[in-house]
Amino acid sequence: MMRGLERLEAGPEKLLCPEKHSFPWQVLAAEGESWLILRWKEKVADRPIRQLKQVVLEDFCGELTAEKESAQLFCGQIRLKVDYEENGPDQLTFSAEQAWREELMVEERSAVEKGEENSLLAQLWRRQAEVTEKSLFPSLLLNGNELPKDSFLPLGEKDTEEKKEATGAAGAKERTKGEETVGTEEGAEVGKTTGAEKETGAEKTKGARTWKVQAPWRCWVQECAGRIKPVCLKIHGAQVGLYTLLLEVVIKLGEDKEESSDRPPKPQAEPGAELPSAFRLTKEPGKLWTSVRENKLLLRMEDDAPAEVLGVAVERAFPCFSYDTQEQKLVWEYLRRLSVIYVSAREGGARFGIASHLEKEKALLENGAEALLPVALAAEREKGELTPVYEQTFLYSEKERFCLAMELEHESEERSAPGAWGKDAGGEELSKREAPPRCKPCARWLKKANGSREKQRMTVITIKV
Amino acid sequence: MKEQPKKQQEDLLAQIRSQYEPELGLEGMSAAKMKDGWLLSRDPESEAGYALWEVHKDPERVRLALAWQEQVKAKGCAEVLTIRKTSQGESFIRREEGVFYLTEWVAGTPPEMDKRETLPAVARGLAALYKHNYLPVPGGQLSGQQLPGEPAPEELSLDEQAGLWLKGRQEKLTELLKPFHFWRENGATNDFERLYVENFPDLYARGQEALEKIVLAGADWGNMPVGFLLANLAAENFWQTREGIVILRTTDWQLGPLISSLALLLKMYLPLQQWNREVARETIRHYRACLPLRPSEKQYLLADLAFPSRFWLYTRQYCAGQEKAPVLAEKLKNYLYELTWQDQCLTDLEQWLWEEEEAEQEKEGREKL
Repeated sequence: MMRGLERLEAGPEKLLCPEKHSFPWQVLAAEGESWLILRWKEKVADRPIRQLKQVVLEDFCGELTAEKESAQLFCGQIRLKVDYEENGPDQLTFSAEQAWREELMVEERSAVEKGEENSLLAQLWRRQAEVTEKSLFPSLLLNGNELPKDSFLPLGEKDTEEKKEATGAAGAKERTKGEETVGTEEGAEVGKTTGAEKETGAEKTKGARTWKVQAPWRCWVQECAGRIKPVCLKIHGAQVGLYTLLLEVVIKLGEDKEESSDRPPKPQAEPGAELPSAFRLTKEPGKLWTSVRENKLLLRMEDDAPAEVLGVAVERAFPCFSYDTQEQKLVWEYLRRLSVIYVSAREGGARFGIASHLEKEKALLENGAEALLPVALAAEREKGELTPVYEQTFLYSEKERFCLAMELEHESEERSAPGAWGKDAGGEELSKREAPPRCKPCARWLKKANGSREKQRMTVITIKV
Repeated sequence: MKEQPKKQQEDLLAQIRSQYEPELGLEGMSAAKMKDGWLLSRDPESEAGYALWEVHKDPERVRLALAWQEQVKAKGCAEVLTIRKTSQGESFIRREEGVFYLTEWVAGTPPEMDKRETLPAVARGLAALYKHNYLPVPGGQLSGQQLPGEPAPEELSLDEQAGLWLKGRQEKLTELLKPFHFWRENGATNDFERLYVENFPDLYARGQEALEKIVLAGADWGNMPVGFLLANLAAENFWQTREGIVILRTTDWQLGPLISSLALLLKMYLPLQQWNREVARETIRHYRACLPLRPSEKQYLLADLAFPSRFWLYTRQYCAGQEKAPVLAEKLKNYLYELTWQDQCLTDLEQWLWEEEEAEQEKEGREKL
């Protein structure tokens, strides 16, 4: 049974606030996919850096190491190398034309307007860089297709694939070049960044240096539907000061599309069968309600401008149910956070960022006019799309599917994974069992999935009455 | 200088001329407009004549400055212009349009500060001015002078005012802490902020060390000559004559350690010589030839040169929104590059001032004996 949903709170423009860049990692998790941003910044040079020559992904691997309910934990390693050149002692030329005027200004201001200066500095007027503003310092942004071919491989497949000859890709050349200079890298501790290492070879340019980073990474993927594969999406290397280098990597852990395309297409499902299995709780008509809501939001990114959006994630938290007696509908209120992972158009600093919009949402759900708390409720977001409207503003459209069950078919069924909403059991069942472990207030359980790798995005939620 | 209609200017000039003795012959002289006044001469071709200066400052400050100028001139300082008094014996004329005073004019050219020999000559001129300078201000009190810090200078002695000048520097340095913590916590958003956060620890330590040395050097202000300082060290305030450098105006002044003026001169013009150590030495030599340096002054000079004053200036301009971030980032980068050259020069100067100079003095002493 499909019923329409009403959206009660839909403002004209939602603000996406960039989150603070965190080191050495930042995670954005969505249903079935996660993005991991790895980030390092280090004062590597003794003398001001003159040139950023290249960034090389020397090694990237990752594999599934743990599985819990429908969540999977991936662990891996990454090794990167940045080649740069330092200025020689005589190469630091400066312009002295304004020095006399500015020194004089300092002295003049020592004698007057002191009080004013104090207040100006105290205000700390904050100025954002304009999008078109060019940075003083060089940076390199590499896309996935520019990276070495083998960097896309999971750990298990790496050894065999490394024996194959890398063909064609510019990244492969970079990698080979990188291996020539590795030398001192062997034995480096995992997770440590090795300092700038002097290239001593006669063929090396004077002042040439290398900064190497080797680190492990790990990331959970929730609600996994298919085979998840970690992919190194983008790498950004930049000079962010006279002596400081920044390295950023975006790793996407999502469904392996190649494998999905290899699989035979699903047979056409019957109308009733298109519901998630977790919702097949009752066969009685009128006891299971499903509805699709289409959201269209105008999003404006504050304080930053994305050049490319890599993904969108939606999280819901703190659900609260009530019943609207006038409308005769179930009211579902929750906090919803919409997050966007993007590549900033602003050069000069960190370019991979996450921006979020958090707001309270309310949905009126049809449930056959029953003034009863539903036994199960789940929401699923179908792929959202972000379309640029104009600078820093996007139109976000998505479909949300809500499923609501009013009765359970098998009440004695399984407990579910922690962390999800919902679950279990009426009072009758509880009295038959031994005393269950004490739950946290408002604890909920998710009904166990039929198979963690099976496509199953719906979550069963039952509420203890 | 305020723009006045030509007719008004002519009337004003005529009125001012009439207040001077006819023997000076001002009435028959033609007037050529300068930036800060008029050049009066019989023959426009020749430069001999008088300069009529116009000042828009507190007349009391002008009175003190002219008294100072007359005092040093009377003591034989050829580096300042001779002031001509009015028929009533006043050094200046006070009018609604401003304060006017007359000096003799000398033939010469504007100094070229980017030439190696100019800076030592200017330093010598400054030393000559300061040689007879560190005397108590007439009456022992000043008005209209607001040096950094509280309370008002009228209530303070000269030594105390010099101390406040130091306090002002310390406050400058302390002000820089707040932007640093702010940008470090909230993240730097542009090149200027990134450069600031990256280099602040070193520059702050540099400034703090400089101030500590200044305090040590000037702990006993009796060993640190203080007095009037020429505040305007811009090239336009100097005049290159056959005899040497002449200081055109003394009306921009402040109080402080005399040696701080040499430090400022070096900070302003030594960058034009890429902080050349030879030029630095030569400049100090010329200054010292006229006005010997005390050990505390040497210490002070080195510390003051190392103080990162322009770092504070750029930060202030940034926070006040007076200059765009990319421009200031470029300036800061340029300044940081300059500091590497400055460091080399200061290392050399320090060694020279403390070792070689002592050796030279010993040698001179032996020769005298």
